[in-house]
Amino acid sequence: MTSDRRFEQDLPSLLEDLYIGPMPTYRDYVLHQTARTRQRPAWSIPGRWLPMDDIARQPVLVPRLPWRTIGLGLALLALLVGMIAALVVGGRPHLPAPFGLARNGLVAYASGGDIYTVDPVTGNSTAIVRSPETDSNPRWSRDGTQLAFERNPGLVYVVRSDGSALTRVTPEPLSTIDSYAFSPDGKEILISASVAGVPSILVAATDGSQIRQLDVAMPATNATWRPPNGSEVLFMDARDESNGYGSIHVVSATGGTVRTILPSAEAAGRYRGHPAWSPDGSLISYGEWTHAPGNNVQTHVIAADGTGDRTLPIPPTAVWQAPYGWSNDGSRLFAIRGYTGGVDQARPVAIPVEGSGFGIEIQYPGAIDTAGVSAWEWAPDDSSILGKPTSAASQVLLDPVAGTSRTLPWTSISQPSWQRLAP
Amino acid sequence: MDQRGLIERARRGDHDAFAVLVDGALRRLDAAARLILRDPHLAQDAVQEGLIRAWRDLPGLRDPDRFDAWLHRLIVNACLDLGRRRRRRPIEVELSPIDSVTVPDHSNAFAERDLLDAALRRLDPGHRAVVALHYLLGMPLPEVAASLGIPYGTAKSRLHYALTAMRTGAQVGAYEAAATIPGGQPA
Repeated sequence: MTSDRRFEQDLPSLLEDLYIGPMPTYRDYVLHQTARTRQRPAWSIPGRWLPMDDIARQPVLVPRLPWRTIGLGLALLALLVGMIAALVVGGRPHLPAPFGLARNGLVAYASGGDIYTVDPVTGNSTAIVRSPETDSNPRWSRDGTQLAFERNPGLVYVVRSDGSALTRVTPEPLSTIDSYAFSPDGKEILISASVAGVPSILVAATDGSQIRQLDVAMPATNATWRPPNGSEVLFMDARDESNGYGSIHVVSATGGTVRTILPSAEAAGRYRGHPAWSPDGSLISYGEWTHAPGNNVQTHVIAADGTGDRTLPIPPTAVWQAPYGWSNDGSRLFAIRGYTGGVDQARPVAIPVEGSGFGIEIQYPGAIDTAGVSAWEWAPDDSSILGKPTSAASQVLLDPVAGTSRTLPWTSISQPSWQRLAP
Repeated sequence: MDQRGLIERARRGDHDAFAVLVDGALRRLDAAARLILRDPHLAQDAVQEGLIRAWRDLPGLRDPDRFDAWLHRLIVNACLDLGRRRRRRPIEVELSPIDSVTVPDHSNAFAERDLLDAALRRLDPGHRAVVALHYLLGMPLPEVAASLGIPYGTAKSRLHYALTAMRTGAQVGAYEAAATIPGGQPA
């Protein structure tokens, strides 16, 4: 027998001599521990289906975990994640949701053919677009990062909120632009304008790359994106606008089959206008009137599927109530209410949409009418309503809770538009 | 009751049967753990972890005849895992069992074991695990390889390396003298 073989033969007994001692003193402790441990059901153990060779090789991690190391590792990981998040979030502007309540930003307005923004708190104005052209009607994008405006004659431009990246989105002048609005994601603009003399809906990319006409198989006007994602477009049939419009429709933003919300009532002598989506896209408000002598418009609310049409209440002495726009929280509608067949006693009013009351009328000293004030807009936080009566060059701010109003220091020829900021 | 009967009872939750099984294996398991970890406290932790896992997972053991091999793997892998987790902790070398073991040839035996222990100390835990499984727990080399998750060739190589180191440490010359065949021809 070689020495190697003999050594190997003797090794087990050598090792036994060296290492095997009496029964370890921790025997009772170990058995106490195992007695307190519940056995796992056989079905829950992978070894029932997988080779136990593999299972037994897995690290045993029962007691005495290195909590200090784990804690330190987790703390470092959290710190790292926090730093990355701060870099990512900090490097990206925090934007508001396209609909719903937001924080008040700057007010955009046109004056002297240029585009300005003004801080409504300090009154400090800043020129955003100054040029020899005549620019008007700036409109903020839903996220407050872009402005669209009209440049005479009949062109629509987009510019960033700081005045940079001026982009023309309409390749050819449009003869009559009724309205335009950014899509919820800010990538497109919906334009109601005349094309070859026909009221039409156009969709223009804000980067100026393309413009398309939305095929709705009829003359169309008053187009608006459906909240919250702009998947549909609401519009009115503009075949005969001599007395107002008759029917309200919806079509996919990509075109296709038109869905009628309200069929024409012209045969019954009823006409409609000012359709507007609620912020959640579930309801539509609109005004309806007849051609009886004097103003008799009433404010209606209807579900997006065309059901549940109802008229919002007006005081017994009031005659008419014309809708303008939804509060950002969707609870109120801004309207102009008249107590005669004319505009001499017309008052702004914030009406609860659910129809629980007549709302709060706002004291306004000057003349106000439904034709001259083309738009009113709720502040992003719903604390006030911004408008511009035709009788004054200045914009006005209405308090829908206190029922008061004040004239703002800046003059403007345009509709109001208020920047939305992240809350 | 035979071991198979004890295992069956323990699988069904009989902790007394499990205690009998532990009593029959604990000294050898403790020895293997101390051989691998070179630290009696870590060895105690490893054995405790291995036995708790054995008790907990015993209902899942498909073949009771594989109990010993399964338990040895659990203990050795618990040792290696603990060794990895505590690798920065200073190793305490302790030969306490020798103090209580009666050895006939005192002077030579102590010297030989000291040298062997010193040689094992110089090996890493992976090599010592091969030695423990194969020589102390009696596991065939292919099963050692499977238990440690290493190729058979690696297990064989580790064993060879460990043997060489131990032989050197234990002054193999003494064996060489005793193994020489008269006439000068090596066996």
